[in-house]
Amino acid sequence: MTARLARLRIRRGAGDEPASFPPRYEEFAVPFEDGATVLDALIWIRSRRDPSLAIRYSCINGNVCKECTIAIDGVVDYACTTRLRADAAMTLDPLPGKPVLRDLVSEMRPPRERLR
Amino acid sequence: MPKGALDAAFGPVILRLAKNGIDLGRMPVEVAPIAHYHMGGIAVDEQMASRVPGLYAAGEAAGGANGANRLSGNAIPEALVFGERAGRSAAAYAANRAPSWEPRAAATAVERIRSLCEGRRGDISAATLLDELRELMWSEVGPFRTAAGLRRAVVRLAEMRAGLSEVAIMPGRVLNPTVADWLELRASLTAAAAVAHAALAREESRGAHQREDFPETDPAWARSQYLRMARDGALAVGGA
Repeated sequence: MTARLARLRIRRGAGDEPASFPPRYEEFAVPFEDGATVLDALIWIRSRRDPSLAIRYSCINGNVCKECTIAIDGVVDYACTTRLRADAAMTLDPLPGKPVLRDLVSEMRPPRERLR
Repeated sequence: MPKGALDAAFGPVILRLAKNGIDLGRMPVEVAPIAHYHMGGIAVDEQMASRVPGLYAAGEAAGGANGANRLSGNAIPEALVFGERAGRSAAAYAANRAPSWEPRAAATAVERIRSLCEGRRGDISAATLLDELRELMWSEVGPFRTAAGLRRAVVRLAEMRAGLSEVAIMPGRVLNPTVADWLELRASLTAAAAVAHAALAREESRGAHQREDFPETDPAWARSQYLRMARDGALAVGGA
């Protein structure tokens, strides 16, 4: 299997920073083999390119914990079950309609279950 | 192998593979062992109490319920049975005490988190070191072990622990992933060292503990091991 290259455009920014317009995206090129997922790429970016990238995941192996849910090209999906592709850049955003904590991580708890 | 036999033995797996475009009857699949369950943890008594007052543990966080291997299906009963017991013990402990916050007891941990959130310059990230740690544990402390490999692991784990203060951290208090990585790395190094030290001490093979240099099972080793942590974080086998 030959390694191919995925291009990921990832929305960046922390919830306590002033919102920037237009929103800030950073692009990463990630080598991958067929079958690798968006979550594989995000983990690769964190250990090889930019450890400050905030992502959320737990089970890694497909639709058990739901923690890696993000918007992929505008469609809400699990990063761990969405395959990478080499033909076009993929745009990753945090969940729509939820407060952003940092980068791809949004506040998912209902308000009354949050501390303070 | 006839298709019916495969379906009968691995039906749900075959369906899952088929959804991903893989026909197990025609195509090979790559398989690998993974870390599935941690058979070791906090030492607790029959009431699930640790030696830290008020701290109880059960399930995968506690050690001692399994022998040299966990029987398939035992993880959930273990969590339910001992989780209930730990809950009852914790409730009884809490019943006669008012909730309290002891600033002096918390000071070290609070100060550490405050300091980490200020950030640190360094040449290497905890995310990169966690990758190295996984590689090290796979190659030297994986399914089949030798004294030489385990010693290499113990040495490297101690170096990584000593290097924790040099790890690069981004400043920031809101969901700072580099702070979370640092804390995960520190905890992972402790767990990894516990596994490596215990594996090095056990000079025999049984269950999930396989030593290539000691392939036979030694009846004298039909027991659990306990580790103690010194104030400086160093681990040693011994005691109960």
